[in-house]
Amino acid sequence: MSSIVLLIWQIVVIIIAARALGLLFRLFNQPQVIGEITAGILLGPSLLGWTLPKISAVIFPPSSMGYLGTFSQLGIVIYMFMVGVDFNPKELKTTGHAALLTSHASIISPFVLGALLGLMLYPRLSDDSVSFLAFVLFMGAAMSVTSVTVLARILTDRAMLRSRLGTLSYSCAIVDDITGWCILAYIVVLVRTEAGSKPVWVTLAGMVVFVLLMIYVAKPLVRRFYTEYERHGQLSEYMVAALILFVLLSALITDWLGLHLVFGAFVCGVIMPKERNFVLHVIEKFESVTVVLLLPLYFAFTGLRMNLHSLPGSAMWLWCGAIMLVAIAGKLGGSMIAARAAGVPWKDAAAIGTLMNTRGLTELVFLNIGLDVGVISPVLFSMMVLMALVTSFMTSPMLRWIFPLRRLKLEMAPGPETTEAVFEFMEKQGAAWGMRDEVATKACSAIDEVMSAIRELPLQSPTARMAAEFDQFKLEFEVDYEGPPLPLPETAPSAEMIAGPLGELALAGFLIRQHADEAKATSHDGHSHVHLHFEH
Amino acid sequence: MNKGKLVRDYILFVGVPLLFLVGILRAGRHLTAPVAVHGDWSVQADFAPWQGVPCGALLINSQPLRLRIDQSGSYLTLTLNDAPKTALPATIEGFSLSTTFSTGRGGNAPAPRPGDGCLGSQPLRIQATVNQHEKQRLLAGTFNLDGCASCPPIPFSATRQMPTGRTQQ
Repeated sequence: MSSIVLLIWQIVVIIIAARALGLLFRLFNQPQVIGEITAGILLGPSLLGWTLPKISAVIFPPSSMGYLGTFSQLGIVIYMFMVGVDFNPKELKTTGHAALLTSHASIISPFVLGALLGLMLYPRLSDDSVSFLAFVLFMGAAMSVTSVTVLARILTDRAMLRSRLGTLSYSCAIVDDITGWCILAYIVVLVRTEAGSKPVWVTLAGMVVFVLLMIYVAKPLVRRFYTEYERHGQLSEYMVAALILFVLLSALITDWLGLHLVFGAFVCGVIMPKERNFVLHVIEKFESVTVVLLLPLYFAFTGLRMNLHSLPGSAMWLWCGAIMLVAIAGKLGGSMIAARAAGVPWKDAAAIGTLMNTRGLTELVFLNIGLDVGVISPVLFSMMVLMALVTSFMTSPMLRWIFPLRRLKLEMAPGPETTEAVFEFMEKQGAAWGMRDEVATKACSAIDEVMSAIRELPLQSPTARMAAEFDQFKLEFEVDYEGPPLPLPETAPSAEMIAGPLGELALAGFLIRQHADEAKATSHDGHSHVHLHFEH
Repeated sequence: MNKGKLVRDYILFVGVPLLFLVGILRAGRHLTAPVAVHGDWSVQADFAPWQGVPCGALLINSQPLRLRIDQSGSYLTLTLNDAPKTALPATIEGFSLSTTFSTGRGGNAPAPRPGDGCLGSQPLRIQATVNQHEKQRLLAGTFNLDGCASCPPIPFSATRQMPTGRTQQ
């Protein structure tokens, strides 16, 4: 099989596995990316190579890893550019003392515990080509990583992004990430200097010059991308090509300086204009190819480098357990205690700790760089990847445990009795769950309008099914009935319209939209659905 | 949160752990890790005396021989010319390197069968010593075939190609 045919087969297998696992994980309320990472790992020697070695040897022969590695590295360079583009330092200014204490404690606590573990692991899983300082710093940094992208995904999925808790944990994650990248850059310089690949002064002076040039020369120039976007509503193909060249050149410069490709791409993203529409446009330009094609290749490449069966002896599994324990205790425990000390209630502090413990993709990039520069060994890499997977995977279930989702299901004929039953439910059960009064009032008003409006419709079935879901951050209300869809006009109906035959219906629809934070009405084959969302 | 409490908490949650980190870095200064042998080694050896056995045939046909060592601390996996059938688990103690058969195979290699390369009924065993010559590390030792009375130990020497990083296959 020629190299290109083999590579295409590999890509086919990887994309199918990534999409399938991503979808499966979505069903279990996990972010899709966690499923994709898992898929990559399962395609490696840890599962496919172990259970079906012949198939694994045909699809992923060791000789083909070069091509896969090259494509996946390209993917991570573009991904890091996107992370940089999405990073906005202004978001850090609004968070105050609690964020300062929590973010710094959430770095130092896992860092120190990781370093302590490094003290024990250095004689066991490292070698004399790596200095103790580099090894311990890497262990500390790898333990203190939080994946901003995965965390943002989880916060968005649970409607927590705009909550105080969401803002606080998101800001802390950004601080952790930036600190982590700086420490990693230092470790790479340290390791490469020790290896004698480049004099340290060249790297350090080069880094300073590079960053200054990016801030004072390149940053004003890249404003032109925004000017072009503002003028035409999009970036032309020439501008996109120029942007790609800019990212790749920056990556090459940092690599030449003795750092890693990803640092250049990241800095390049950080200096890009931060107008939200522009940021979303740039991310959208790169997202499809990166997220659908290149990142799954990176996950598979990581999985192929990870081999859980290479852990020599049961003692290593104990060390693997110790790594997970330290990672969770340091990050989750450290962030939680610091947040509590900063005045955050225990429950919210536990949620912050849980969110900060999400390592996800950032950790994989860290570990792959660590393995590339030789600061960690293959066995330690496998253990740490497993830790990254476990800590990312546990976030969603832990959050559900801390903030359980309450559900209500009712099936009854729309009418005053139904409305009363819902009011009673909101009053008694909502209070027991800790629902805020204003949310309950808004929800009751909206539901009252829904019931009134549905009564006006020619229903095919006399009953409507209602379901409510509630947690600390949101209330979702679903109503299903057999009949025509409910109109939900965005503007208030005029007096003439109200006096018309469907006037009351339109008014009720408008009021529903006013009460709820989001309202949606859909219909298919005579079956209609109303979805109301309330922020808490 | 008042400033006094913030400073107190900051010292407790950030300052004290930082001091602890300094302590860890000082405590670990004298720690030593196993000798680094990972990477690719060029092997010089004459396998002619093993011509009649499967492993010997494999090694003779593989000249020039390249020994790849994946290392995690004192645990090693040795692979000859990237052939999974020659993946051997090994350990390094001080400067002595020797293959072990406790796990029987390394990595994701398939289970050995009789006569299967160098892992079957006549498994390959390597014993060597790491020597430092200026900045270059050298290996000197013997290849042995267990269970083969007529196969004499084959002496070898190997020079290490400078590793730029690590990968695992």
